[in-house]
Amino acid sequence: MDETTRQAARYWTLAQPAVSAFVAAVVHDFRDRDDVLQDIAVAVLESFPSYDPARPFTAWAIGVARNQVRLYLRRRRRDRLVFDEATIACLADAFGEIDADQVRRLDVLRECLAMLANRARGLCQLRYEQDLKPAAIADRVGMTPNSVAKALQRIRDQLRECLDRRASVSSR
Amino acid sequence: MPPTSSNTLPTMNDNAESWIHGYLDGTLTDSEFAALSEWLRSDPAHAGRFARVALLHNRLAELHRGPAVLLPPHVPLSEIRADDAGAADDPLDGWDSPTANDPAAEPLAERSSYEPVMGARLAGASGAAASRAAANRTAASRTVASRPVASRIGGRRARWWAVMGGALAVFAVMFGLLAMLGDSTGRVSAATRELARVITAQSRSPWRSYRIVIESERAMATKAGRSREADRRPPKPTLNSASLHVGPGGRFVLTGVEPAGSWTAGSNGQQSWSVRGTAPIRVSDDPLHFRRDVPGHEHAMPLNDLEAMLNRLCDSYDAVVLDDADEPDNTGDAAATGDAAATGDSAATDDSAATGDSAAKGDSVATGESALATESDAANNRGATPEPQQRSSRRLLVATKRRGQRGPRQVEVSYDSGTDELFAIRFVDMPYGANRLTLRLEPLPSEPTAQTAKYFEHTAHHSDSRAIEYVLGDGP
Repeated sequence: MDETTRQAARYWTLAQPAVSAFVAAVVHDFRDRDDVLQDIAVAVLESFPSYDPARPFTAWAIGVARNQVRLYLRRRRRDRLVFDEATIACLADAFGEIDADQVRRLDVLRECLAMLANRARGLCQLRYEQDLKPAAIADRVGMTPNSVAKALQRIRDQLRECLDRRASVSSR
Repeated sequence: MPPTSSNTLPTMNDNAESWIHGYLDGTLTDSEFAALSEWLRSDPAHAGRFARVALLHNRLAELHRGPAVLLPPHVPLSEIRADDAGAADDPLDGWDSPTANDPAAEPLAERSSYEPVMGARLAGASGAAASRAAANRTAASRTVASRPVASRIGGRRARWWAVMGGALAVFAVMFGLLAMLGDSTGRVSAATRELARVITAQSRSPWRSYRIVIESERAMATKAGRSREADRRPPKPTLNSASLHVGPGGRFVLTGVEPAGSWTAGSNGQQSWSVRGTAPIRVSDDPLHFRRDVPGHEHAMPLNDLEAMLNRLCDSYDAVVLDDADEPDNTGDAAATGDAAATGDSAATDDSAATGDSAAKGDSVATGESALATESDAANNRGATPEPQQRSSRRLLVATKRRGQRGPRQVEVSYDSGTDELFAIRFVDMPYGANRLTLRLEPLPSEPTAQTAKYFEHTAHHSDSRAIEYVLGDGP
């Protein structure tokens, strides 16, 4: 591994969570996300000589990701609820500003999950482990889709509060 | 409610949070989606809010599709179901009620100072979680091995592994181990904590790469039956200058060069495979089948599994942390030498010494020195010049095998106590086939292409025209 590749690898490791979240926000299909992320990794490596170290790497990598996402969406034009170019550009800027601290604070997410009430954890399992949408979850647990959606929102809010508190405790 | 003009933006802002969550959960109508898009474009801060929620959403998805050890106990559907008709449509009713006998059910929002409680509880809970995880891994291996290849390839859960989930897995194991050693005091506990910290730091990214450097190799001392058994097994590949790439979900790629050509063995978490020279690609339904080429495999501490190594070190080794080397030239200070010498005494009594291994006696002082030198080498090899304050906080953890245990005689972990950065792990007299190796595992920056699931498929390591041979059973 030459020094350029080594450097690219170092940067990529730090930027990957933000890039992955950006891709997940735009590409809905799990398998497609993997493929797109793979293409982005290759593109980042190939384009690394053109990277200007004066710029934040994550923002640059998100730019590369944006091109790959654009190619993907061109192939999947029939999908509904796909952001247009201008919106994706805004999102790319926002994901590019995610810093290492924001990523690192997610390291304690498991602990926060463990502190949720059982029913809340169960909803998370159905949503994320089984990839069920609120309507399907509602069928299984005897709630309305709307109440499931609200519950999921509240759970994520609680988890975010937990992460924030953990971050403030550890920074003292 | 969709926006009709820019005047509606304040209202949109009020609803934005629910639209973001709705988008991520796939429940938005077309008009709500249009509203969200407009809201995102209207202010960069809005996109920032979206990004923060999406980052959490993505991590939740990765965590739940990763190894079971990452997650709290599974909640059965019967506990999720809203039995009370009155509560059924109110997601907030009953969700946060703590259960008297279940401290894990304590609500986040009502806890005023959960930090100390969390640590204690996790320590207890994760011990069980670690055991469960071990059982799950075994069960998963059995399940995977019994299912047809076609049904496993392309499994959604299998394809979406936690990008950062490995860090959390190690958290679980770390707390479990700390709980197991809760009664221990003094340096063993301190060493365990140190080691857990280092491994946790390593696992912040589950995609990791290492270089393997062989310091010495010798034939295992003859002991009735043992070497003959080793001789009957398939020969191990040459490891010098080999590299090891690790991914979440048990993925690994081990690659090296032999006189006959390069070789690669790996696993995508469901299958394992071997690519050697021009021979047909060998693929096994057993994800562990070709892990046999990974040093430490036979003794439940394969180099690709830091969690397993941590478990083994805690169960079967005595560990000490040598004092900080205040200055780079203090590597041979009296305190360090004393600790290492004490370790050497212990080593001299173990079964390696009993096999007639003269090297087992009293070489810990030299071992400590070489490991610290290794650390410096590793930093240089990474091309990263450590900051002065980092150089001054180098530490060495030396774990010596207890009597009657199997595995390498000694394991040395050199790291930065300030940043927890791992410099190298050195294994002294690690059994490997018919030989014993002394080797170093040194972290390398992981190439971007090695940080994706596809890299761990055998197809990434050979041309499409190569023949593939499926290995049945446990044959070589």
